[in-house]
Amino acid sequence: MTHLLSDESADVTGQLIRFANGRLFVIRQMGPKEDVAEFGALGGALEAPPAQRWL
Amino acid sequence: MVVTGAAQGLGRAFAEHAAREGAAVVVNDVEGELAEAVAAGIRGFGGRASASVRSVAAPEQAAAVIEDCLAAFGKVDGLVNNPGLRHESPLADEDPARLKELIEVNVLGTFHCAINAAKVMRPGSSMVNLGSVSMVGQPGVTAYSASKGAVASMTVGWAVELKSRGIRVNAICPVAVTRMGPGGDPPEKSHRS
Repeated sequence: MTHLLSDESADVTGQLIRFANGRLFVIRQMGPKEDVAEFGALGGALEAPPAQRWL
Repeated sequence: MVVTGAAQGLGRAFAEHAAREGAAVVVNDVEGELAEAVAAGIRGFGGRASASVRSVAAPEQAAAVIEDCLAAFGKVDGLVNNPGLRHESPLADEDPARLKELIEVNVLGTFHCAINAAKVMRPGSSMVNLGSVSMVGQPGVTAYSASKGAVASMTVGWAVELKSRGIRVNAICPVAVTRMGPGGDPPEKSHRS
């Protein structure tokens, strides 16, 4: 905490940080993990209005 | 600097450590006697500290916490947003009143302090919010984990917004369930995380 408050971390901003094993780690923010479907195989479902999709 | 929820647990440790490193600290908490004791303890080892017994869940009281720091030390160049309520509940049993109180403290309390600190912070200042590794969702404590998800979002947004002013914003995400109030084990409430 004190490190993040001080000028020692002057270049660190916008980070989510975890302390483990005596070190500070930046936690990876959201990004793709694994693909679950090909866009072309969705049959246009992504373009359908929600009302049509769920009725 | 200001540390909210600093009467015990992690908040107290943050306040005491910063004070040992030379920071002048406002020890904020709703637990008045405990906050006063922490501030007195800091002064006891030669540090600079004063207590601010207010609830950051209330916008006007959060503003007063920042004013307390300005009055005591002349500036606010650090803010540790460490208010924290936590309770366990299955979704279907969640009590709306308790849910509302948690969000008011963990999310709005953090927001209120940041709003007022941002008004007076100068370049080189730093905010650190208390997140949690539960921020992406944890069964049985979803009110708490959702509040920490909000804190993560606020951290990133504020960091981008305040970068041009030379103010940094980060969050730490502890892996711990620490004391959140006097008594219980682990207690459910106090303005700490």
